[in-house]
Amino acid sequence: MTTDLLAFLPGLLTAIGGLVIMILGAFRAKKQVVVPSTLLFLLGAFGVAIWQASMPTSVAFSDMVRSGSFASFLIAIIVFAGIVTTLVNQEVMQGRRAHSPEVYAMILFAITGMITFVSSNHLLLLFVGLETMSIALYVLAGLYKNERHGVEAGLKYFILGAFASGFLLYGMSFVYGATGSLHFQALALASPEVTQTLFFRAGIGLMLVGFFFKVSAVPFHMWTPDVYQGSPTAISGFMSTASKVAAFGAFWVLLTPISFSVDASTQAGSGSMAISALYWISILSMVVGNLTSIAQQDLKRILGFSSIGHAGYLLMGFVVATPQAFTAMLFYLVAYTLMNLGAFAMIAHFERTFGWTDASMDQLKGVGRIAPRRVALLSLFMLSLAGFPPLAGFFGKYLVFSAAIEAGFVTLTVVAILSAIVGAFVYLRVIGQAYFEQGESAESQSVDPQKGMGWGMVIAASLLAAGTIHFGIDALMPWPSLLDWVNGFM
Amino acid sequence: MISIEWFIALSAVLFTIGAIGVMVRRNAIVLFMCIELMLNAVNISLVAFSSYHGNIEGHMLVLFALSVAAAEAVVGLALIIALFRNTLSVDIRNLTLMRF
Amino acid sequence: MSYTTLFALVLLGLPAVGALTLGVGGLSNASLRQKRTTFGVLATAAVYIPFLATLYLGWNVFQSGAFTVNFGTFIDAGRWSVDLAYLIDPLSITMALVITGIGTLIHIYSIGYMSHDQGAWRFFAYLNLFIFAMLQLVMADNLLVLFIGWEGVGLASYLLIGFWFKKRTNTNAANKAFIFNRIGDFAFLVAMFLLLQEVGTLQFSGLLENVGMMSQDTLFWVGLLVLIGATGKSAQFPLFVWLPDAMAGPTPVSALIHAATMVTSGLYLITRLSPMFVLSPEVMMIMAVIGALTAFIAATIALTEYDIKKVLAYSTVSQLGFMFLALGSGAFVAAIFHVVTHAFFKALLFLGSGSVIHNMEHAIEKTRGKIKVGENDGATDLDPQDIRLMGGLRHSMPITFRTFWIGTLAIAGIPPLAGFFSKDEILMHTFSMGVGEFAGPLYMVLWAVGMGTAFLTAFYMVRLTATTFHGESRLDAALPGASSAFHESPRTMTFPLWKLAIGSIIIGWIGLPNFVVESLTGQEAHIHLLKEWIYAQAADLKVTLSYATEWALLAGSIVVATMGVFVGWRSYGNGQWEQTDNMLQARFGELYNTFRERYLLDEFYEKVVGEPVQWISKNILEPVDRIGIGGIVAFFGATTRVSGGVLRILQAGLITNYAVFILLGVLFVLAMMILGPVVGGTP
Repeated sequence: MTTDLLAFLPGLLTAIGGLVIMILGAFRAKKQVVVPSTLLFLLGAFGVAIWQASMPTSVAFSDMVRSGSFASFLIAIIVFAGIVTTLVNQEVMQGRRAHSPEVYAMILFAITGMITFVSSNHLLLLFVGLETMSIALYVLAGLYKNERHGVEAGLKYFILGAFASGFLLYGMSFVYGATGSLHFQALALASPEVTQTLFFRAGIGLMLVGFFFKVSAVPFHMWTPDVYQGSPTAISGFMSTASKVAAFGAFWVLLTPISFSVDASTQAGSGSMAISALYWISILSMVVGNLTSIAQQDLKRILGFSSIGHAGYLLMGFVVATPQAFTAMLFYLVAYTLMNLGAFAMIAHFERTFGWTDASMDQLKGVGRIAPRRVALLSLFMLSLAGFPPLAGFFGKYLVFSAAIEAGFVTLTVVAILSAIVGAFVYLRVIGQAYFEQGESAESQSVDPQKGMGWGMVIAASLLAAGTIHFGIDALMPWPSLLDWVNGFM
Repeated sequence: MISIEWFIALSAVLFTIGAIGVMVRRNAIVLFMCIELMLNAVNISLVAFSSYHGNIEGHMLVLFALSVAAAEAVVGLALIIALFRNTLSVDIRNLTLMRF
Repeated sequence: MSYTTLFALVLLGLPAVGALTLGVGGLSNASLRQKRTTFGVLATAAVYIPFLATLYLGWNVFQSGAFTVNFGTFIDAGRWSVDLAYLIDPLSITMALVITGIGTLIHIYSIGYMSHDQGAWRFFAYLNLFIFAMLQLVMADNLLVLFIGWEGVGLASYLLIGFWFKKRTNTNAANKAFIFNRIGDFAFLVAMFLLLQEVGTLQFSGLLENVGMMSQDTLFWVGLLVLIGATGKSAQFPLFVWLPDAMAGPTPVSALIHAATMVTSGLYLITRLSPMFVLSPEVMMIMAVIGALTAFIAATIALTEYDIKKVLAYSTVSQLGFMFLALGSGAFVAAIFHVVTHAFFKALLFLGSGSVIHNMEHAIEKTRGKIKVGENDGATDLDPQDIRLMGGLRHSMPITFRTFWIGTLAIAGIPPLAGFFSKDEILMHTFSMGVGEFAGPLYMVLWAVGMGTAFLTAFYMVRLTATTFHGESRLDAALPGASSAFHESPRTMTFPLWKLAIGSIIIGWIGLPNFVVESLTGQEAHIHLLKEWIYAQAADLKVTLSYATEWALLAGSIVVATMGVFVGWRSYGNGQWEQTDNMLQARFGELYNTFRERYLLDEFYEKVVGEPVQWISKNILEPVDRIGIGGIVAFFGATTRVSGGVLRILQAGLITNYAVFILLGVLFVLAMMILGPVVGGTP
């Protein structure tokens, strides 16, 4: 029992943390108490995750939960995103009516869900984790419940999310019908006769739909820009990174043994049964995501479409499905988390400092003159998203693309590179807007533009910027252990 | 004894009705009910498979799906109330502030 | 981490830390920038502590031999990889000692020199950046890390030449230096590619062990390309024109970068690769010719210059030419020896000139302040660097005066000052090549040119010193009463002058010629300490001369140097520069004018390279770019925009529409799953 609890310690910490914050909120605790306690629980979970990452994978709770190495690595990324979100959020939401202690409880519950999600070794737990995460995120997305934007974001996310969950659950039931078990290992060990059945294949397909929805792959992406635009900006950053890390991690664990090793043994050389779906969805995601972002005027919508494009690049890892590709995908997840969180955090900061009513591109005009260093930070994250060396985003793309080329997916890579060029244009446009356009909007603001970043933003932004630069220069640092994990898993 | 195909067919029909409902209705509450219908359709198939395979895992998933659906109902209805407060209607055509 | 690794880290890292701290500190806070002395002291510490670390490392090398410090893999590109490794051996220690030692003195000097400049924080940050890059260059264990330093010093040099960027000519000079360096860098890069292809490694020991693998042709081309690279960096003919213009930077920069250290990096590189170069006598010969030619051309130009820093700049080019002559004669130890001695006396001379300029500027400004506006407009464009306005400064600045003379005698080659020993050794090697088999007569001519240049060196240096310090002050004629404002520079500036002067006197004694003792005792002698120290890295060719010849050459050197000084003193000793220069012009006529116009090299580049390139750009490339490439880009851009706009319309905002897309997606995924793999363009 103790070992079971220890294995799930990060999740326990965040769950207990969420409950504690709820209780604190009931007693009208001040923000000065709530935020540090949230951070304390998250830091605890982060420490445990880092500690467990060095241990080999083990299972607990009668094979329901897996912990150690790979799962702990994902947990560490997710909890890190949570820490940064908390730091940014407590600063940019100061004084807003929606800024209640429950926000942090919801962040903690969402993280609990994600941890369950990525630790699951059983479809039941996968479903529960995914839904815990989603329900907490529905609440967070609709946090501005007195504004139409906020309600719209929350409700859109909720209805479409529940719709997609229905398909996921239906897929689980099909798979269960075909194999008679919900256990990952049982699915992986299913005989070729079972995996060839229509039920099994359709079940996997429907489960993929749930996955595609969570990572906002085309054509399941429509909610993404709307929800990111309407949600509180720091929360959008959290949604666009942590939940995607969780979805990619969990589905990688689920799908790799089923669709890759088993199928490869029966259909030599043809790859996985899901490869064609993944292939086309990946191409669609990067093309549509990057192309549509050109026509956008709102910074948060741009980042929404950009995250769709990035989902496409990440999906390439699944398509190529070599150890190198998966390792590259994991690295890309780290890079993506750092730079996307950073971009959202900087926009959230500008929104607050300059009193923006929306995050449209015009607001950014002339800001580069007033706050050149802060815009430089934003530019750093934008350049990383665009894939400029020597930043993390560049190495993410480089590793994924080179793995794809090595495995012979030339067309896919060419499409990916072309769409990345289109994407780069958008990010550069944002930088250009901030630095080179004359703007009156920022200068005429009554808010004191000299008001700098508070301690939360400073810590968060420097962590993210340092990470973006560090993983751009020394990209190979986490490489060997990642590759070991991937090889061990496959 | 009714064979398993009937249950699967029933569940498929209910699921499809729910999915089509989500696509054609305009009332947020009805939309929400359609989603509930989809989830319950799945529950039927899960229970059926569970008894077909003779193990309990499907039943357990149904229990969890039900409780998850209850939690979703809480959040969903709260959001719909917030929508009503803002627009004095529950028509989802009002939810097109953010588009393009 | 062992102590040696720690000290190496201090040596390599501290200047970078200094540059970052000062740069970020200055950028972050405007009031912090006013603390100029603090910035200067911090910057000095970031060079002085590495100097101590170098001493420790040098002691270690002396005790237990060379070693490498490896900080892990830098680039792993499959078939080859490059380590972030540093080589700590006698040669790199020698260079590092010069860089950090003289660097420290120049940093101290700069505290005084920049004490009134608003940009001092920037200046010190750049200086530290330069030291960092230069140490990367000389400590590197492979060509790639060396190349980082190579480009880094180029960058620092660019930033510092254009330090006073508000003046157009300064930024032009910075651009010129950068572009001329790029020509050399390109050749160096190609040489690296060739080496990677032929040998498969960029690491020095691996490279030098495997030079035998290369064919004679490859050796020639690699050698020639490296030589071109060195030609750019070390300001050799025909790429030297950037160095005189580089004097636009502050004087400490000229002393540190454009005299003592950066310009010697080409020499360092060739010495480092000397085992490869000795296998290719043709390249050696080209090198020697370039060196002698540069030495002579620059010396003749220096004869006619009136700008104190320009004279020193051409003198630097000329001395660098001597060093290349040494390399080309297989005297690698002598080249490094001359690098070391030259670093001392040329830094001394530059700092002395800085002291003079500082004084002149001060006097001009102070006096002009007293004169009412409009009263003496001629005084507004007085150039504080013009030696024609100087004269008589020996009274007001005794320390600068004395140390400057020491520097002059050292560069002229008067024994026992530093320049004599190194220059003598170089010429002896050239003579030795002259009696050798390969291209003997040519080397003999080069030796004669070298001797002539040695004479000219002594002559023009005495001309400069005498015109500056002796005679009567001529500034008063242009600006009455200005000479009363003269004063000696502050202690932070005179302290380095004395240190460097002492160095210029004694540093030559680390390279006493062995044959002096050998011919007396008849036994092998080891009094050439530098040779004992670095012979393993520098693949010197043997000198094959009899003791009598060597003695004769030694005496010849002394005679030539003394004659140069004597003739110079006779011609300029009383401030009669005008008569002498006119007399020279009358006697040499057109030749003198050629010197005066700097051989029209700048004009030549403008006509042959600048104008045609501009013509082609304007008349061919520009239309092609604007209409052809621009059109294609515009077409794709427009297409992309339009498709983005179309896709955008799909996003209608209605939940039910989104659900339809999701259902379409579901059907698509299900179809793909059931139909099986349908993938285009995959194996």
